Amino acid sequence: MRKVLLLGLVLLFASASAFAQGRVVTGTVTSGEDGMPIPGASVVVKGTTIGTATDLDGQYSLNVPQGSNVLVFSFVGSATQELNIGNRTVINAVLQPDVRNLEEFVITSFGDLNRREITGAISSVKGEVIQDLPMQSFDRAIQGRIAGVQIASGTGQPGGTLNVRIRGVGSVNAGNDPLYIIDGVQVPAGGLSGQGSQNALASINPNDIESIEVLKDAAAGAIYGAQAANGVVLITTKRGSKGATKIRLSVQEGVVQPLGLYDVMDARELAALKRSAIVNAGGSAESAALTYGNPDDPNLFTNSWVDDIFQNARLSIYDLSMSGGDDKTTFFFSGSYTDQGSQLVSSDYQRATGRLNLTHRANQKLTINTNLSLAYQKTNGAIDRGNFVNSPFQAGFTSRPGIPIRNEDGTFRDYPSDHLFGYNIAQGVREELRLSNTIQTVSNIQLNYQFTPWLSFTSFAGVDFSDSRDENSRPSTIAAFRAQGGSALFQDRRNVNFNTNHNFNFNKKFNDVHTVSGILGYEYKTETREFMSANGQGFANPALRYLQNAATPLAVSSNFTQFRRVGFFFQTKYDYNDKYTADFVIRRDGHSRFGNDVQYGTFGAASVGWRLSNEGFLKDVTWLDDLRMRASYGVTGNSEIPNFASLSLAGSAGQYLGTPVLRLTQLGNNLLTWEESESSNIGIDGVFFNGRIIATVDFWRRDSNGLLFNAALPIDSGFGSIFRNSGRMRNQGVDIDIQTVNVVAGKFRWTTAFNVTFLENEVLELFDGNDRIGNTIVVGKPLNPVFAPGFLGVNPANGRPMYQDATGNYTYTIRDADIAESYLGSLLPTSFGGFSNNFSYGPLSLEIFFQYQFGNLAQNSDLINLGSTGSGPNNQLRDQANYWRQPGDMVSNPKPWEGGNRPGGSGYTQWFTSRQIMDGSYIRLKTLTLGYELPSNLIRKIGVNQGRAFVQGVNLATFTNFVGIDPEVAGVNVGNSFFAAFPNAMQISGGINLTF
Amino acid sequence: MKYIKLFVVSALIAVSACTDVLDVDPRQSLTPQTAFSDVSGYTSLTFSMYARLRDFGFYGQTMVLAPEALADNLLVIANTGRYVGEEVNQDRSHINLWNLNNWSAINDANLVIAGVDGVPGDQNTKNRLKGEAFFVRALVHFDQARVFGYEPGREVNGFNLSAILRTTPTAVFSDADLRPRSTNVQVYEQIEADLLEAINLLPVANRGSANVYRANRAAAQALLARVYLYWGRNDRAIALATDAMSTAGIGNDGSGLLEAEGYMTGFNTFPNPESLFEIEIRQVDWSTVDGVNNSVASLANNDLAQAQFVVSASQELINSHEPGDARLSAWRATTRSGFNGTVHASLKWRGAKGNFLENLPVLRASELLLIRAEARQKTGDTAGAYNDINALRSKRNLGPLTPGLTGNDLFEAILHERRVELAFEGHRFFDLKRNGLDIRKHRGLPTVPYTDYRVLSFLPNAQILLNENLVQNPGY
Repeated sequence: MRKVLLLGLVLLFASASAFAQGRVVTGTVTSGEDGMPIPGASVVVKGTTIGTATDLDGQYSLNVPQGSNVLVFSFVGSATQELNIGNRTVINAVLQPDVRNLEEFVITSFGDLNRREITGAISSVKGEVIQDLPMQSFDRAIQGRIAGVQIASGTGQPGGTLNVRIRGVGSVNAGNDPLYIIDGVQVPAGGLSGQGSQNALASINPNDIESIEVLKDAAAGAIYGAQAANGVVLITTKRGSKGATKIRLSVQEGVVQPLGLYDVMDARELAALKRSAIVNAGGSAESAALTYGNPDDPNLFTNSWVDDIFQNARLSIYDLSMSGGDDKTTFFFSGSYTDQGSQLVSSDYQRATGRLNLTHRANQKLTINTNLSLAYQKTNGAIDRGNFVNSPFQAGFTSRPGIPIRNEDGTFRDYPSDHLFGYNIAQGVREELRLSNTIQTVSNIQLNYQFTPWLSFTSFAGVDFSDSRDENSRPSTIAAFRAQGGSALFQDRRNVNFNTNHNFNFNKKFNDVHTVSGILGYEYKTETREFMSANGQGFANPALRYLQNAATPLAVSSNFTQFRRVGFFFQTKYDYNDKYTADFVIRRDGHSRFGNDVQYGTFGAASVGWRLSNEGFLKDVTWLDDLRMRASYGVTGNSEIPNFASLSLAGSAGQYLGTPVLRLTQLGNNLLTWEESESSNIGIDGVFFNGRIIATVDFWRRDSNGLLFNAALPIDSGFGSIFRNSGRMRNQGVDIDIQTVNVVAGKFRWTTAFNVTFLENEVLELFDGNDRIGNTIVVGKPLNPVFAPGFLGVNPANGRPMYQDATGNYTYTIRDADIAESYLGSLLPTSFGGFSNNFSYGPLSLEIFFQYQFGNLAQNSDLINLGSTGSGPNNQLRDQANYWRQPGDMVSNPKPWEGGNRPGGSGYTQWFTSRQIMDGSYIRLKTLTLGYELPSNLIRKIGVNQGRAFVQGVNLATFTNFVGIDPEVAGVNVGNSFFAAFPNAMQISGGINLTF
Repeated sequence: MKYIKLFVVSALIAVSACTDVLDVDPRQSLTPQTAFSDVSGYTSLTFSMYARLRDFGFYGQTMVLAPEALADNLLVIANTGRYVGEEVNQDRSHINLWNLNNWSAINDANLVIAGVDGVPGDQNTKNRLKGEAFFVRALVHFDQARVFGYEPGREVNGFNLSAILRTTPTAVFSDADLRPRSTNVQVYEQIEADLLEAINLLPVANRGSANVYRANRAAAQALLARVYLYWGRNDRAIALATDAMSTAGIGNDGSGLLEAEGYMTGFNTFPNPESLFEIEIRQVDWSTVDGVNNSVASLANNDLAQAQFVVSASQELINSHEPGDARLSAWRATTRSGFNGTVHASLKWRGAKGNFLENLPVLRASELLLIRAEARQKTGDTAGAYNDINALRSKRNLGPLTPGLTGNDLFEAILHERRVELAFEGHRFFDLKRNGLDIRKHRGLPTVPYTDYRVLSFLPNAQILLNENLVQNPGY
């Protein structure tokens, strides 16, 4: 306390003396890029702590003490400028953008790292890159933006989940999601709901994000030891800064449209095809007409199920934030509301978020900090993936066009019971409720105590809490649920993730050239998931859906699961004169999931950096601004398996004769321990031609050892698999990231950001000397191999489909051996990345961003339903009409055959063949944004400091050879289903953001 | 520096506490030691076997309908993809019994047999549980043997591989070894031994009582009689059928069976008064859509408007009934939208418990007379065969069989009696196969020769690739 008082006196004295002896300098700081004033720029008297920040108009006023003659102007993203005062009292500064500076600081939950010192492989995306993009979660927004990070949405459900893979797929059966750390809180990725994909990461409003860091190798991630095997994604939200309160408002409205949907037949086309199929298989044309109508009838009734359930929908995003603070306290406060419809009439997404980030410096030593967020997400979902009759992406296309959707009075008509279980999909999507509500907070408190200038202590506690309620109501108006009087299902999920860490940070410089810094700490993490479910049936009225109204309460269920993890870590870093850097991390982690004697694992990494550009022999190379080499090696862990995988378990399985059933549900393995990811990286960072070219190239290898393998057991043992540490897999590749300033000519500026990753995956070893597990995983091949016989087309002589057999000849009947020899490739891409071009001319700007991936196969199981040449009851793609009719026909579709089972051959849709599995490479025009900076003299009049209007499009065009709606969702094997995935949509929106 | 010391000390304290910190127990599962520590735990485990039998891929649907579709009893009347392949004996459209559910039922049984004697509890209860386990192990091995292998003496090209024999439990990882398939004789010998144990251990259940929902002595005797008939050991089949009839209270004159007028209502009574062993099913065993999607009643009957009604009795089956046969009342002539002509809904499976729900008889007493008649015919006891068939016919509103039939004619008459009595109960395909007969088909479909590879089902390819001791059936 005494010290504080003393300090206050000193400050008072200093300012008083400055006032007495100084002179006042004023001026305006503007941007060299666009000539606009820069608010919040720092103006400091060189060699002192005296300074101020520019106001909203970029103006400042500063008392400069006698004897000082230089002002230092700086602003984030701009080159620092020093100006002599001389005799002037007005000093205007023009700050030029400094591309080099843009990524200087990288924030980790254990402290801030200067980018120049980083020796691991880290990539960053700044918040402004993803600001105001109409995407609900940051993982979607950074797709294609970071080398080495493959992001694919497995669903087009608004607010849905994505698959994020950093440097390949490292594990077979343990998780492959990176570790997400949002302001220090470890948040598991995945879905929150069972009724529609709802992304656990979507509780964070992307506009709240200051920066996203992706730690790609062991050296970068080892401080997170356990769980870092799949890389780490650090999300830092915005904080306030000292100065006038800034208010930012952003409003956006737009439309959501389906991508190209399947082109299916009308009633006459289908009736004609079915008549051929039924007659060919020995039936009669009359019989065909009974179900499908007479194709010769020009007035045959037809309607479009596709048009009835797909739509263009509205998209609205409103976002408001305020930030500011004083010497002691800074804050960032925000609120947002998103309302996004979808291409499906019944499906939409709403989200409201609120955030308060506070930092308070109690005194010189103690700083407290908190990030509080609250999000409400509401999803009206749809059945997504799976060959289900109540999935709109299945039945929407397969429903027969000759069946009227509605009765004449406008009510829905019962669909015939011989197809789709009699489910009228147009009625189903509208009347069956699939609702999910989630409340989630990702919040933390943090305390920092600075013992001495070189030693501080941090205590951190964070929680990710979500409470989710699913409702599925199936009213008796739908024929399938009429007998039971309708049914309703309620499911509640509560997930609590808690983590806390306590660590010392030290940082000391000796003799001006040796810097030693580091961290020593302890971490504890627990995750608890609780689930409760109840359903009932028999409702007196379809409008009733609560279980109180159910005549027959049915199954109830609840469960609980938890894991705990502890870790100790130590990191030290040495830097010699900004030339040589070495970094060493060691960490020991224990996890409750593993066998009692093998719960702990030791992880660590070492890395070195060498700044060549600071060596004498390169000092004079003028075009070289910075050149640095990095090398790293390390081991991190993976424990993402079910919580009790190491235990033998006896669990319940329903009832018999009213007695609860117990059975042995899992075989234990008390030797089960950490999967290890061993990674090495060699990287080069360079900045050339005065910042015009910034390039980073990383060569990496990632070996996963002791895979947590769900190793197959012979099912005659009564068990299908057991978790074992067995097998090895390798991922290796090159990440290339290049940013260039191509043209700067007057007001015109063109910059490019390009990244690409080339990678390969190979399974090196399985278990017990096995070289393959069925056709699902094979040593020497990449993961997710596809074994499917080649479809050789239609035999022109008889119209039968031909497949390639094991000997390379054609066959009508596929045998085991034909499949085992039919390797087509893998679902994993061999390269991916993004390519962005930014053009600006004065206030106008245009960003064109492409995202791409190559080398992967994609499976479209929908072709089993829609491309069977009429062998089933499903409506067919229009191109199926081009089928074999007579000997000599060279066509791609065989002779139609009801049932598909020509005598003595494989069924036409019995096997997946190269007909449904194809090259899934694509290039997508992911976003296109046209922006216009509103003229400041105009908006000033209404009190607006800065304003921007924009129009943007998402998924505007896709270039691919894939046959299907969306190659992106088709390439992702979610729940082993490639059927009826919710495709991504095209979005076009316009908006405005204003800063007050 | 003192802070670092402080930290080290506190870290050490934390480390020492860590073994506790990481101690997390599952809450809705138990360790096997806790779960199976007494007779009540083993009762819950025994009941797990029955829960597995009711699976839709087993007696819940497949074992009822697929053996009918593979032969000549079942007509597919709407192409929803179900039984479309089985009806035309398409490649790999067979009965896929080599699955985790069925093998787990065997493991449940093995756990009971190996463990129940070692826990405290009443010995009679233990004996009953063990007897049930022997019965279910035999039943599942038998189903696997008849789906995946030829019956002893009926091998084609000498191929005699059958199921894998598992008679010891898989309780730990090392138990899950890779085993070869045993020969059909080895498997039948094991089934025989298991059923003899079961007969010794199991109590008698009164027909019509809830005790037939569990394995019982008559059920074990009846199953063994059937096994002997498949095996060609006809003397033993006669003896066991006789034992079973005596245990179940079925007279040589058919007394104890339902009278003709009660035949149909028997199927809508729970348990069926003729059931020797029947699997009870309750609404909670099903998801809300299982009734419509998966129940036999939804597939084979149209009482409820939303039933799928995709399979009908074949016209050939209907036509084969003699005038006045009470079993004709199992079929209701009706129409199916989209199908040209008359179809026949099954009244055996009509979801009489409501909302598609009903129990499924696995062993019915009338089969005993059919087993004994066939075994007697095969051993040359024509008179005995006539007696048994006529006893059954007397309960089905039919007069005695045309006198004077001998040899194959008599055999065919018995086979026909089986066909109409046990239609849509999962016998037809096996009755043809076990006798080495070509698989007869309906609606002009080509007969499947007995030597055709499609007579046997196929093992999952993944299992063949995993276990090099495992041999795939010929032709796949």
